Amino acid sequence: MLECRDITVRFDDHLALAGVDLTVPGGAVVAVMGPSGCGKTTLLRVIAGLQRPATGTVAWDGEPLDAVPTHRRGFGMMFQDHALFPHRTVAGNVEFGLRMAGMAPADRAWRVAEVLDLVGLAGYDDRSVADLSGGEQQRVALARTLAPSPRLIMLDEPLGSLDRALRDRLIGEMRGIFAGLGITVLYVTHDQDEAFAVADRVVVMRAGTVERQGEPEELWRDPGTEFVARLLGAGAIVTASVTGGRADLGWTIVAVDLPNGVHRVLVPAPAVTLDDAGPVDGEVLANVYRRGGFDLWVAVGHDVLETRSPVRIPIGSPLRLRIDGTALVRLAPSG
Amino acid sequence: MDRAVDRRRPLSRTRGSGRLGSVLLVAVPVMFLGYFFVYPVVTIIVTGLAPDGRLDLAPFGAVFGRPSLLGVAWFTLWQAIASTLLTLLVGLPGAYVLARYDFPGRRLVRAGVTIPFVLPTVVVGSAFLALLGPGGPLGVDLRRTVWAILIAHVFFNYAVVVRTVGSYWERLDPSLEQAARVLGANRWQTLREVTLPLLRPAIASAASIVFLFTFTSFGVILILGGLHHATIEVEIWRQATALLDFPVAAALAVLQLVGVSAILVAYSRYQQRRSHQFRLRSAATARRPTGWGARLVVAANLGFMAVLLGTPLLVLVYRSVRTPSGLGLAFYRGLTERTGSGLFVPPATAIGNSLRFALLATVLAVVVGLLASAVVAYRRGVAARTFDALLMLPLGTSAVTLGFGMLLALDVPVDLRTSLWLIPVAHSLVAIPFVVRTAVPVMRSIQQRLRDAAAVLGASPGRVWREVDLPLVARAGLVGAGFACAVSLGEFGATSFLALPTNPTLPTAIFRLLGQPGAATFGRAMALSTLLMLLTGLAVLLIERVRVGKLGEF
Repeated sequence: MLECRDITVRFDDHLALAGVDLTVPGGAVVAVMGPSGCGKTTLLRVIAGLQRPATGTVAWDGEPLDAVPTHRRGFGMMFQDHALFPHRTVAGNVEFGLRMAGMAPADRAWRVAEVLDLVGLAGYDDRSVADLSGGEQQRVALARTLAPSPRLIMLDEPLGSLDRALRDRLIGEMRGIFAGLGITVLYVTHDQDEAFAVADRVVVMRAGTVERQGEPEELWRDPGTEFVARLLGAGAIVTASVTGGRADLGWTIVAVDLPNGVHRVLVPAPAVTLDDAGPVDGEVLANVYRRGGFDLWVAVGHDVLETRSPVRIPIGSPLRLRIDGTALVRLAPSG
Repeated sequence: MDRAVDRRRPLSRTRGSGRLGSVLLVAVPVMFLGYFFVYPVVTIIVTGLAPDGRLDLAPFGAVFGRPSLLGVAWFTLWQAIASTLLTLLVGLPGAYVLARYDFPGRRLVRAGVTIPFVLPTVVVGSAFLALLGPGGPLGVDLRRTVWAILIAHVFFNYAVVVRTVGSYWERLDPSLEQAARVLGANRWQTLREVTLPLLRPAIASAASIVFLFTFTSFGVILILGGLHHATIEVEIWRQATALLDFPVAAALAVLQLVGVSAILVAYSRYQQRRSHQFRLRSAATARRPTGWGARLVVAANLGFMAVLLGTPLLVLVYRSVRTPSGLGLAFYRGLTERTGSGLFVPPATAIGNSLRFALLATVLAVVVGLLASAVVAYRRGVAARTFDALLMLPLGTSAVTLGFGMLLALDVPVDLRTSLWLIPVAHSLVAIPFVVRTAVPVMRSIQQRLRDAAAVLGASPGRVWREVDLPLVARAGLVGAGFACAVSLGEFGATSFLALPTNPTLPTAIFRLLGQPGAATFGRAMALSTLLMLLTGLAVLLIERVRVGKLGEF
């Protein structure tokens, strides 16, 4: 089990990490997500020992690693853009960690073949890494990381430079490989689809701190803060004044399950339905065809709600909506 | 995504570097350059400004007072401008053809175009003497005319324009030109409004290099111009070695240093000012010529290259085997005889001398150059940048100035002036900037990420250096060695001060032979020039074999 406590990293006058706590249980796949510059990569570098933190400790199974140099930590890391050694072949890259560990040549050859087979690149041993496609390079990088059987593997935007279809396929494959090997994984990405698809647990980071963490379903159901709700694109965020189980949203009043007071609330897309007899008047601002239907953005008062429609509704069309108040989620305010 | 992180000083490096090693890394190149380069150059400046220990502007008065010396300065300037313009005029179409058209043998042509540039100046001088001098196949004698000099300069520098502008042109996104055409510009307007402005940095860069080379031209002028046409460089040599007027020679050297520095400063200002970075493609944009017009342009340029670059070298080889008794190797056999050579030893001994000097110079240049590169590439801050600039100074200092300065200065603490060691040292100083310019980009291009990856995979800091840095740097070192070897074999300016008639190098032996009367001596000079050309070619071949893709800035 990996435990990070109170990790702080300062670059000049910029605080890259501000007291981050993170736990990765043995055998779990944890995804760290957040926008560019939130400190995800720095956190990985601290865990790998490539970056010394100003404060805080990293420990594995209770044993502190602060005095252990990178090459003795026994962690694997897959870098952004892969960092394959350009002067070595595919096999030369994959066996690198095994050579460093002092494994005998015969054992190395066997292990390289095994790992290349695992990532679907059997027989690629003598190819030059420069001649590989982006997807193949990604697989070689994964094989190189897996080969020495590290106790923890960290992946830094491993699919960053690949196209959508290939990403979807590789996410599935990686998920299968991680589950099959039962290894502990820390996966960094800015892409929520990737994070939710690959991880048992998701940690959302924001400006050097952990904003929220939980299982994917839990996060989606209750984002907790406006920042997370926006990051996930979970729906519209509006202000609700609640008195005695009834919320005034400014343009309609709905029955809710919320305490009295003025709250910021999430209106998830499924809570908004098109209904000619509905009480809310809106106007279509935009529509986008996606996965067999249309995502609709509808202007209502000063707010913009999100919903789905099976058919195209032209921009500017008036329509009527019904809001399911019980599906509203209260959010903690965040700047 | 957090790319800023990669620029930070990594942990492993600060942890791994020892204090003593770090001091040595800086001290060796600084002491070497300080004693063998800075000290001689400073001595020249002192000799020019204060020949007797106190400020005395008499030498400068002599330079500006004598019409013959003013004439030298004027000739130096205008022939450099004329050579630069002529080279651009014929080089730009060549750059266009090699950048934008694909045809069978394109790579071969490209490699071939570079040959004249790496040839020793003495060989270029000999080749043009063979072509345009008395007894040449054209039946004209342009020796001692400015035309021979200008044509030789174009021959020598054609590659600078074709390579510098061509590699830029090739990566210039053609869609910019296509956009201009779609917007209604004709070919000529597109060239004037889009292509040439975009190429301006590359053209300026090529023009500055050509101007610098021709401004300080020595071997070519000495051989083709005789005493009728002298550049400042030639005049420094004449004042110092023939007239023994050291103060005037030093004053001329100072003037030339000022001129060269002015060009370098103006050029770097210009390069800094150009702010707009535009799209360059890494992929090649060349296509097959289609239509008669395009084919004609390609054919005309290739024909021109063949004539300009091929003829002088072929004539050189031809005249080395054209003996009075028909074609034969008599002149080559004659190299083992001392008689009539103007040397104290048979000319053939120059081959062994040159090879020995080249070996020493190469070792010195690679060792000092790689140490210096490590300082420049791995360190930050003002000190490293100053050091980088210091390393480039030998490029801006003419070889004659260097040789003259060594002759003036290096008698303390021990008199090194007659030591043969000084020759390879001087050669290595000329070669060090090439080694540094080859190695630094390679060292810088080794991404920190690769070292991090190796560390995460279990490599200790020392092992990281051996597994990641060394294999890549070693290749750059080999390329640098090839450069150093070629430079040393052909170096003439500094060597002309340092080599004794008892220990000639190939270029000084050729020069001596050319100075003697008689067809047999001329033939022997041609033979020795041909041998030097082949040796240099071998060194360059080594560079091309080792260098895969584009390595370094040359």
